[in-house]
Amino acid sequence: MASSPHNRPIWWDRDLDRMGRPIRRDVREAAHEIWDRACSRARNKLGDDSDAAEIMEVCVERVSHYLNRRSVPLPAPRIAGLLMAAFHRQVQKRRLKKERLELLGGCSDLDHRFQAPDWSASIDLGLDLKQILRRLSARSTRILLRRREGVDWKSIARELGIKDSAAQVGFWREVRQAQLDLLKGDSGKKREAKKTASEGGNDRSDEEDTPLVP
Amino acid sequence: MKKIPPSYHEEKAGIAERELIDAFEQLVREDYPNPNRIGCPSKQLLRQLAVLSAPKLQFLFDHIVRCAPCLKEYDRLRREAKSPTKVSP
Repeated sequence: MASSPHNRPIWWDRDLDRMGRPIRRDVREAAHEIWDRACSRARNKLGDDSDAAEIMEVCVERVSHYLNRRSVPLPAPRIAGLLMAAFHRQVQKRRLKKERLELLGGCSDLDHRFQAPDWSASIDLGLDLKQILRRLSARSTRILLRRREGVDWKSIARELGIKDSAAQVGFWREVRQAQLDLLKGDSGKKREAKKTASEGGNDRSDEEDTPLVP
Repeated sequence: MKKIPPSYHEEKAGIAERELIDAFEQLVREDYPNPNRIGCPSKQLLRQLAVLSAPKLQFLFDHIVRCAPCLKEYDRLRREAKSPTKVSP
């Protein structure tokens, strides 16, 4: 996990990407090298650097995959520049997206999405949480088991052989990603159901749609 | 009972860790009943893991999170292993 003395957001420096492919060491090192500059770029373009960590993780994965696809030997020259360019592109994309979005509420409104006001909503929440859990990786499920036993994050990180905050940040990031996937899936399913209904086809249950990620 | 304020991550996700843990217990019971105890480790191994948290046996966690009987047994062994002087955090 990359950290900063100035209380900046941290990015998850990991060995494998989300597809399970190894991330190149030279790219990860370059990311550490440009991290301060990248944060400053994100602040300038986006107003704050809260998204910088996420953007950096995406860029590290992409650049590493790009270099591997082209069989560039380790260590590749001028990676910092390549990574910075990729980061800048992502920041620009995010800025444009931000400008297109109409804000309907703040961060606190997102909390209400996962709060249950009555018993039926409580059942829905339970189902949502199970769907989230089914999407977690084996590592995050294991982390949850250890948290259930009251094991602190530091010990969990030690067990997994990763840096202290990486376990916590990585776990919650997966939870939020699963939430987002579910939200996207909900709207996708509604569209699908509409289409199936209009075609007179069979409907499928939520369970069948959701892959059980080991 | 003192209410623990939500952590930064809990607030950001809008989910309490406790809720996830409760849902996890329910999920293991429902999705992985494993009545025939297929692929389960021996009780002795589970005990070693529960009591000593032996690093060599930590691969068993991957099974425990997908087997309701093993999770139940593991919980029982952990409760047994806790000395009366220890207080869980």
